[in-house]
Amino acid sequence: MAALIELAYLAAAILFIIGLKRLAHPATARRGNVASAVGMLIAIVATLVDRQILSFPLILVGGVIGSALGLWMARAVKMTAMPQMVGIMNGFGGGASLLVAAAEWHRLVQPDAVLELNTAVSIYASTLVGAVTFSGSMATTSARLSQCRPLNPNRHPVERARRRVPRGGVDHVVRADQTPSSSSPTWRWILDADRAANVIVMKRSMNPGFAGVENELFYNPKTAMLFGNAKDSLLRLIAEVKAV
Amino acid sequence: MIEGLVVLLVIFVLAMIVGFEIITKVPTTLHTPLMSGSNAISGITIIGSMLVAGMGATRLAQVFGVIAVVFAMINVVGGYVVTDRMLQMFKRKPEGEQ
Repeated sequence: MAALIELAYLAAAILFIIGLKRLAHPATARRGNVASAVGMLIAIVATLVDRQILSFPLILVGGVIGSALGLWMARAVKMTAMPQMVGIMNGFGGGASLLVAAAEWHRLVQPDAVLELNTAVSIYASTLVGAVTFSGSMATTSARLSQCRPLNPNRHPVERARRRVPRGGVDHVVRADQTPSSSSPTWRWILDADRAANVIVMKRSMNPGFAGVENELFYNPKTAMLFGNAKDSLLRLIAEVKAV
Repeated sequence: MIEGLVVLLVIFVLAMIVGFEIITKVPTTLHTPLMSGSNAISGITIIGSMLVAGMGATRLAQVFGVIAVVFAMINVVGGYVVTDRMLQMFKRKPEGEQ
């Protein structure tokens, strides 16, 4: 049985590698994620039949609570806040590693006990990595949340000077419908680009981008679109202006 | 005694090489989903959490184990669902694409 469990872990590891490989290509990314999830399910089921496990209720309770929380967090999060949510979840994984290391330490380190070298190294490494991951993720999250307060639109000199100046900016920061004083779903600093006399958007396409939110600015009558890589377009424009 | 450690080291180094080879040359749009997918895999710590909770060596180990299972399950389920939500956006080309 122990050998079968090890083989199941091997299958899970292979599915993780295949899943990651597929995640790296747009056409296969979604299936890759499913392959990886199947690998995780295999690993969990294999562990449940492990003879070392004597009581299941605790695992069941913890598993149900954790799954429900994870599902809720993943569904509730806005598209624009996804990277932060991934950071939080990663922190929970680190916290789990830390707790496992602490529990093993408590179990194994008794008076007169000799700890095997690989066990000791594993416990130290899990403690270190788990603690750094957990505290780092949580500290970053709370720091970002504290930046999330609505901003005074005139707090920055550039904002005050904006009136008739043509301005540049990255797509993320020039959403006409998300001024800093509103309850903006993004935590980035945002320009009121729609209040400029003329707006030129340099972008490769009308693609709404990763967040999947259409940018109202693109449909503003004052807006002209210049398709192409922003850096190349700007360099060409500068070259043409210099030639004049 | 050192052999066990060497085996772990071999697995660790090979895993690093595999990871590095897989994530090179990835299109920019897939960086965030790939990060998220890798994060979900790091939830494999659920295995250790389940063993610690299920062995019930001491009361304290049990408590740590149950909390670890909750945390790791948040990482696993949340990680895969978030990744899938991101990847759903690659399904169709938005209208107006040039």
